[in-house]
Amino acid sequence: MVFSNPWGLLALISIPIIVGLHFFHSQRQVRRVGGLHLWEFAQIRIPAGRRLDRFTRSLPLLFQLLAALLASLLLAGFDIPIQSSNRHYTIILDDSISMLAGTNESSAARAVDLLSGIGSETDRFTLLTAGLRPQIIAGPFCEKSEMEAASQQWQPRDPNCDIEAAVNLASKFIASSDKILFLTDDEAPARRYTETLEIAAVGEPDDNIAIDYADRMRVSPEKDRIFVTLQTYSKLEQSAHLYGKIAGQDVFTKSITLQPGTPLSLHVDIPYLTQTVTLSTEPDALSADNTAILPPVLIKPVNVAFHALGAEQVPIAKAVRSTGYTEIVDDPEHANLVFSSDPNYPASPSNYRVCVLPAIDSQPNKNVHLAQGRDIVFDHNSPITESLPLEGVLWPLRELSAPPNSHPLLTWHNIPLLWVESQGRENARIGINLLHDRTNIFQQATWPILISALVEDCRMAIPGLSKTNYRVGEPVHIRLRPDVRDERIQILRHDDVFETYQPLPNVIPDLPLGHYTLALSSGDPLAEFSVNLFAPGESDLRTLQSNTPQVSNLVPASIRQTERNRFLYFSLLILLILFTAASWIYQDISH
Amino acid sequence: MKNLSDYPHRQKIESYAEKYDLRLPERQQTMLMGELSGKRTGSSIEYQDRKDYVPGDDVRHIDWRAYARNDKLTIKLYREEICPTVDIIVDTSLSMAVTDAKAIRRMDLTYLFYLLSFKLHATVSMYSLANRLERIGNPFDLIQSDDHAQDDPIPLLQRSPLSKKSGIKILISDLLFPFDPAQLLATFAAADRVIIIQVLSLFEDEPDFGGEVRLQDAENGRFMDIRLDRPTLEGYKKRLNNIRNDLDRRMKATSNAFCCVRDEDALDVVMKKLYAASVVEA
Repeated sequence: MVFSNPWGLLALISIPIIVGLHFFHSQRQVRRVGGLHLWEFAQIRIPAGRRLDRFTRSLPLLFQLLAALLASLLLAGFDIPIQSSNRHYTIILDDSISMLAGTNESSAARAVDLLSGIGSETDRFTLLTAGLRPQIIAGPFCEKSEMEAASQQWQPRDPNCDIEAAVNLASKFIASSDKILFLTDDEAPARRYTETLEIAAVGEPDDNIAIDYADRMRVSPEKDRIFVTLQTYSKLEQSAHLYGKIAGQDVFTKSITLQPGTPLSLHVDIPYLTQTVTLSTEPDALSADNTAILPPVLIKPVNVAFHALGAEQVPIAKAVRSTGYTEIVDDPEHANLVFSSDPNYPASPSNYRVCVLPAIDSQPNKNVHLAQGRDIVFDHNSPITESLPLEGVLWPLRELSAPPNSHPLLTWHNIPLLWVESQGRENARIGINLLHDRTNIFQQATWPILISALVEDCRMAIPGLSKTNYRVGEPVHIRLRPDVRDERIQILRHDDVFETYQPLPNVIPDLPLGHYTLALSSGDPLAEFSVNLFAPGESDLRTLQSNTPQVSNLVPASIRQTERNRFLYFSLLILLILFTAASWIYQDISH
Repeated sequence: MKNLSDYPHRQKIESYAEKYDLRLPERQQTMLMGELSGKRTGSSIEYQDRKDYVPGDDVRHIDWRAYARNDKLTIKLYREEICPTVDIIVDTSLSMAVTDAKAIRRMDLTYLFYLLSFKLHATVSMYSLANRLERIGNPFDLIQSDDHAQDDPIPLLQRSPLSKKSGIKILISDLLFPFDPAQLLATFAAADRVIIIQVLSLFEDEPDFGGEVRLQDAENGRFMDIRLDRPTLEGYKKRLNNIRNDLDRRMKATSNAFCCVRDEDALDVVMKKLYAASVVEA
């Protein structure tokens, strides 16, 4: 029912309103006067007869009613759709970065050329990309011009190609017997989908040297160390150079010789602690894996303080000191991590983590149990406990219940040993049910590992990036400091504005290769990081194939398509205008 | 308005009647020998002025004492005494009651002229003019009598004795019937002074823009559809003013008076219009 559309129903109400106005209008306008002879010159001429009189008087009303009805139909979306039969092509593009490889012309360019020869202007297309996640970049069921425009703008960017996910998504647009055209540079991974896919391989095998991995560490207050792994993907030994540059200036050059199938790892120490270092090798078939950008190492020191502790402070402090980038401070209020025996310790906003150990009371044996390592259950998903060795540990505990809304990390017979209570967005209180005067944990490796995990957990809670060097496809976790969280934040890629957010989300997925800077809209930089390729599978171009089928022989799916009946729409529109005009014109003529 | 108590302006009209007088004609033919002093010289004993004798003057009024003093013939002038007769003809057709205000305004004017006439010690006669001309006793008879449809009142007037009577003739009507001003004035050719008061409703006098309207003739119920646009309004006003101006011009040429009042005019505005048109004097 066309008038089930609320707009149409609303417009339909205009009809009784027009009728009401008409009668109201005609009833209101009778004026008694002393005589008519002075008005006769202005009399509205009505042709003849009472019946004709009524009819002709009603004509403007009739036109108005018809115009209102047509307007209601148009607003209600009245349509008698036209059904047509079209050919439909569903096409998947390999979005892995190896599609950019090629000496003269990239595989991606060959794929785009191939696309332009498929189908005709009257056909319909659904174009997807298969990368880390499938994505529809044109359509579904779009025209060829739209498909071609989308393919021209397409740039492969992902470190691998998830064919299965793309096929699952593309299958939603085809019938079970229809085939999907898959344009890739490597036919082999797609062969198990040959029932569904028509594969067109547009790759060309080639030799390639790649930086498989690179990272940067602070090894001393004056020195950073750069670790690099390089590999040649060819059958022969190859010589190359590794260049280290800062702001375009060479800071070191290494001559290297790469053996086929053997990655070469090396490290370089540099004194440039605050500058971004770009590693590169000579250009070859795939340039994306010849470069790695390494921003300065991000150091977030953790200030640790102790509050109301007794003898247990000594092993805790010792374990804290063994953890890198920590500092023990006197004032707990300004510490990031506080160890306390006071369960009611009033945490300050700077105290991202407060660890509470039980005080030793006067009834040492009341409700006390002893847990042993093999009986302790731990949370595998928590970074605090996932790698905690508990074998040989004697963990005396008091029988108690975990506080409400807390998450246990270690339990013994449902009695919590270690738990986390969230307090606000990033502040948390960690409870440790450990009677420290009778445990052997301080002599075990478990203790420094546990304290180190607590320190690192606290370090993660401190606002700022957790690291500055990401792989393509790796989500970038960003926690800004509180005073700028609601500000308008720009993400600059190679100094150009890439995206603007307000507020910035905590996780940004799918950033393409590049060097990024987070900045306030005023231009003040907040952090920098880089996204590098590090995808050895994409760097191996030796297995690429070229196996282009005759795409003109492709049998596309036939789809029945319903389109809006434009003729009907414009006819109704013209009639609406005509009736409206006729209503006015008739009134004018009658006068 | 069917009861005397419904008439709202009685006291105001009576107070205006005390403040104003009906303006008398410059010359009377058949109103002499009354109780009222006329404006012209006459044969009363009240001395008014003297003038040089010219042949044709009444020799009985020659001042012989003055002749003895200065050998010059002068005539003594005495104020005339008049006894005016006033005939008030009130249009009681249906058109005079198209609005309640118009009917009340007709009553106002009738009562006013009735009181002013009595103030002159005149002989007052009142007539209602609709489908026939009937004599009525006093203005308040208008309240209880019904209005009637009227076609053309001029033949009624022409056939009536009024057309041959002298004295003051006061016609209260909306004049919204086809008529020739010359013919109307000719009807009262024997009168000493003719006063015509046109009473119109606001819409009849000053119609405003209003889109399409259906006009109904109050006399015969006939309808006419018009559109109140600028050309129509201008055309109507032009026709109405042509008749008014023609009537006014002819009335002034014969020392008569014409005045138009609206039904929604305040009473003091009505009195100012009557004064300006020399119908009344303070």
